[in-house]
Amino acid sequence: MKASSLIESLISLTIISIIIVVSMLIFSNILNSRYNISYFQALNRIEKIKTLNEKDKIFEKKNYKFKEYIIKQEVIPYRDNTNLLELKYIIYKGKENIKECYYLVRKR
Amino acid sequence: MLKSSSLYYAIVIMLLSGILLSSILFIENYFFQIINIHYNSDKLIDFNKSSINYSLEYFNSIDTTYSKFEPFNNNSISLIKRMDWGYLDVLYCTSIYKKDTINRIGIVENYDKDKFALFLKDNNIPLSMNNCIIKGNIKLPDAMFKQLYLTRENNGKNLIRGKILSSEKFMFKAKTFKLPKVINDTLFFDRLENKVEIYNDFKNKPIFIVLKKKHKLKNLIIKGKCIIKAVDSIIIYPTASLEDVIIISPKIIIKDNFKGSLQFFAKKDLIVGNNVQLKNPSVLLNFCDADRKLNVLQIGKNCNIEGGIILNDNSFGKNSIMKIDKNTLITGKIYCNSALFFKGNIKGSIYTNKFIYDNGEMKFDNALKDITIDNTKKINSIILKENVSAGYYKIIKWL
Repeated sequence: MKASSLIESLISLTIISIIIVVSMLIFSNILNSRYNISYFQALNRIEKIKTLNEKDKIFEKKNYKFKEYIIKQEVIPYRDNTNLLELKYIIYKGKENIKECYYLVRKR
Repeated sequence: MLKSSSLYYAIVIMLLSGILLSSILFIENYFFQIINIHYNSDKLIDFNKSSINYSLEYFNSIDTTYSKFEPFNNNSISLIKRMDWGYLDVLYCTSIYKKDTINRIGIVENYDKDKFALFLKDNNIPLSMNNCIIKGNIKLPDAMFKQLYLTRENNGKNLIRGKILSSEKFMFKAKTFKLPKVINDTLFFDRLENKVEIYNDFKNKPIFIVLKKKHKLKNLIIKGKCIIKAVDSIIIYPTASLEDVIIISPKIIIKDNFKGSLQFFAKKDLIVGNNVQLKNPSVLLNFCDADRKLNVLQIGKNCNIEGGIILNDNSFGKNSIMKIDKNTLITGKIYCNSALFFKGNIKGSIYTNKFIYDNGEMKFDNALKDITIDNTKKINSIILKENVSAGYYKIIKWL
């Protein structure tokens, strides 16, 4: 086996370190993505809250804690109609608002 | 032999990791795209549900042509319209968000408790009853009823749970309806083969089946937006599977044990056999031939009918009768601006000009025996009156 020159070794070390840095960045980016399993579980939780609220006809301003998320439920009267309500769900991760959902429900 | 060369190795490693990383990036990108599609479709479904909720709240003001509605001012648009399907109201709602579209069609009914379990027009004859149970408020001539005495022994007591009020001298007019007309660009057949199967979506134009002679409907399946029209008469057998269709004929005969969910419009006679089961929303309507001596709407024994039964006689009872036989349960409304022979039971309301009780030997005007009228529970029922502002509209069947 032949030994490689110093320049060759340096270049290869540089390339490998660049690859390691780039791959670490990509992996950390993917792993820390906002679309992880808990995010989808939080979305499902919104569906569950929505269905239960509509079934029981209980609509009130409320915060729900779910893992690292906070689901904020806001109830706003819809365009002067007393029987229609706009339900607004906001998912917060820390202070960051990561998703908003709107839904119109009937009070009666 | 393998040469020792770190640069080559580094390049190979770079290529391999490049392939690996780019595939990871590609998968991530693809994953995000799928999430976006799901997110948009979820949003679209929510917009559509919201638009339907809005439409049901403003159902009376919805037009018969598509009108645009923006539920949340965020590029989502819904197109809403209502359409008459025989005696029923159908709501069409199309929601558009970005490049996606969703279409939903449903039959709307008034989900409410009617104000009265019974309305008997003030025809100056008091109502007499024997062994009757009425739950709910009632309107009777002079706000009173009498005991009906048939024999000395068999005189059951009556139970009325509700207020008794005075009825008026006039009945309200039932909602007008337009029978669908055969249009040139719609499909139509002039005969039906045995074992025919026709399915037509409510998004499409109606299919007209125009039958020229007396026709028997058996061993066939017809579902969806179809209208069967006969010039003379139609006999429906239990082997016919009919759903959501409209049947129009001067004479309609439904044979024993038939099951289905559809609307019948007769001009002369509408005869329903025994053990017939019609699921909600079903309509039996006789709009009576004014030139005929007697038009009949008759329902046999042990039937179970959900929906509406209407006898609309413009001469107000001069040449028509409605008969409902023993052990038949109606869930919905009965409207009869003529004479009603009622021996069944109802969960809902009855509006009638007058009752007749026939025990085989004698006929009694405004008399009832062994019946139950229960209006204590909210039920899905057809809309009898024009522009009902009160009540709660609800989709009872998705089409």
